[in-house]
Amino acid sequence: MKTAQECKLFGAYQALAGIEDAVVLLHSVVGCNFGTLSFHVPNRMQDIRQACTVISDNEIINGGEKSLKLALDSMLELYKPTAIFVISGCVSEMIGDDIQAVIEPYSQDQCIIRYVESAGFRGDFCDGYEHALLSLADLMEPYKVSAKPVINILGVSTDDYRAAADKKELQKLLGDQAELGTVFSQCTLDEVRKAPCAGLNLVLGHGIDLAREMKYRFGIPYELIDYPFGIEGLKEICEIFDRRFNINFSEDLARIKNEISLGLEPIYTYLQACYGMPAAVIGRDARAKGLRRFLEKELGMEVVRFARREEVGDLEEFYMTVRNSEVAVLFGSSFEQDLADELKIPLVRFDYPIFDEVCITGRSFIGTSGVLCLIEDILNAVMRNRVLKGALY
Amino acid sequence: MKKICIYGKGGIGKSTTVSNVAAAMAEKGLSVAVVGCDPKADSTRSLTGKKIPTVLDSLRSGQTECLAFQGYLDILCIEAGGPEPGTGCAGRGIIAAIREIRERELLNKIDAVIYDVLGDVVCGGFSMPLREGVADEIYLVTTADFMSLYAANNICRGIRKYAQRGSIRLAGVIYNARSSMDNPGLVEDFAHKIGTQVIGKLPMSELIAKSELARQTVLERYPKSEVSNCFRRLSDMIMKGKGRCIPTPLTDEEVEKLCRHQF
Repeated sequence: MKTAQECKLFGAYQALAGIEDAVVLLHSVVGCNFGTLSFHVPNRMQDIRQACTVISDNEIINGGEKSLKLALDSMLELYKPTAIFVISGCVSEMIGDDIQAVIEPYSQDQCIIRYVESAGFRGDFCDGYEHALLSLADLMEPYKVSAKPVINILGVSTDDYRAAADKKELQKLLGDQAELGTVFSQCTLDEVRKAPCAGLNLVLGHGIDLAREMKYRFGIPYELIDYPFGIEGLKEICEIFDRRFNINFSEDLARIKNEISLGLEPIYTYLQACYGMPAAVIGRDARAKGLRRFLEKELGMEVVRFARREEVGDLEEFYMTVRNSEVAVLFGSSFEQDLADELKIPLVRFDYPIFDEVCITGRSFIGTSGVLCLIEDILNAVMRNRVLKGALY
Repeated sequence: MKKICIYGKGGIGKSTTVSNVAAAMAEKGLSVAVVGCDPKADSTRSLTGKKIPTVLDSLRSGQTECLAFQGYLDILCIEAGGPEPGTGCAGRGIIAAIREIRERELLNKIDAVIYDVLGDVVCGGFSMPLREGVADEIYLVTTADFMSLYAANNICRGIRKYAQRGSIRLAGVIYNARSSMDNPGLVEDFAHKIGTQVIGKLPMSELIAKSELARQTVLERYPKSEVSNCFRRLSDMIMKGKGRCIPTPLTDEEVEKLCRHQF
């Protein structure tokens, strides 16, 4: 059996490691550190703020509390962080280390230290992400809602491919009319604290538990949306702004549509070949649904195989349905490369984890640039493919 | 090499049995080793006259030159050791200690090794002696108390699990009369029902308590006593090792029913 998702620890890591002035301490075995790091490095190699207690036989037998304290002391000295998130793993939870007791004696004045239980056997990626993100609610302070509409984004993971560029595109879209507040989790600890000054939380699939908590504690409403791929994705956001804040983005939308049309002019014939092209999409909730909408509604592709990772028990079962189909393009993560190779079809990477491709040019997935980049990716992938090549001519 | 393992409820007299049986074997000229598999690390106290450094202590400190110590009649004494109470995983400690003993081949020139295992088969670690050929024969120490028999029956479940796919066998029950209830018939009945027999009876004797306070075995301190002879007879029975079986544990209700009959 192949699992479709990483474990709870990976979810917690993705929720917390993106807090830029904080550090993550994995109280686990070295593999957890290696795994999270290997998915992180291709995205932000220069930004490594994590350590691991590297639990070995000695800690398993005698308890890992001494090692945890040693690691905390070292991290405080080396990183001087504003916060340390201690993410537990399977082993430390199995042997019952009293992590909270180790943390408590530390003064929280200079550095906030929080324990986030993330035993892999207690849940999957989503559970870890939701639980860890929710733990941030305790760090938030009641703020006066800003006069200018501010929105927070929930559901962006640390190593979501091109997420930083997407954040910039969103800011660009909002322009002077509204402000992008806290983007969980590509933000600072101060931005986490100030998150309650927003007038709305936009939840991109994950982060719903924190959104509910913020509604309960601070009265901030939330809207659950798919990842805003394509024009339809932006339109959904604009409609929300219109409804919630009475802000009209129709002129901006028209401009973006025009820019995209102009951008696509040189490859219009190729674009026509996308009509009816059978595709398979597998990804996390909002990303998968958002991409499907874009592929079907805007490119006219036929998504004949679709899966939200959260709902897939055995990945091999989904792969089998793809094998038994006419799928010509596969959209997924780096893990889908083997299937793409086997079927001799191109793979377009859009979902975490992506560890066999880098992006240093600020290419986004959303906005004008995002639509053009994504279409470029799709066409190039198809053109490079020896079997499908003819389909575009 | 005879590889024996002693199990039984906590405080039932396992360490007393182990050290005295080891002494009896050594009296006969056998080369004997005792491996204490209890984090309290007191299995070999009566043989060495002191608490010896444990394997896990040595691994922790990095001073691993000496893991085995000579005790009474040159009995080789090893204590696995364990974590501080309330921390870590003692079961994992047993696994690591036994692996270390194996890797160093500490028991290679021994005629008989006796493992003294804590309380019950509480987890994979404490079932380690049942696995991978660490021991061949298991002996259960019990009194005639319900809870003691209940624990013995529970241990049989663990033995059965490993016996079905390995060479480990239950070789008998050792009855310890040190209890408010002296009912050898009940223990014999129990042994019969689980498919084995009582191979030795240990009397309640203050000589045992006195010897333990003196950090000696009864055989060393009171060699001519009847208690010492009991241990010698028990040792002979163990060395003969007849009646190996895969136990057939009772249900909890059956153990209760069996014990109720004595009143």
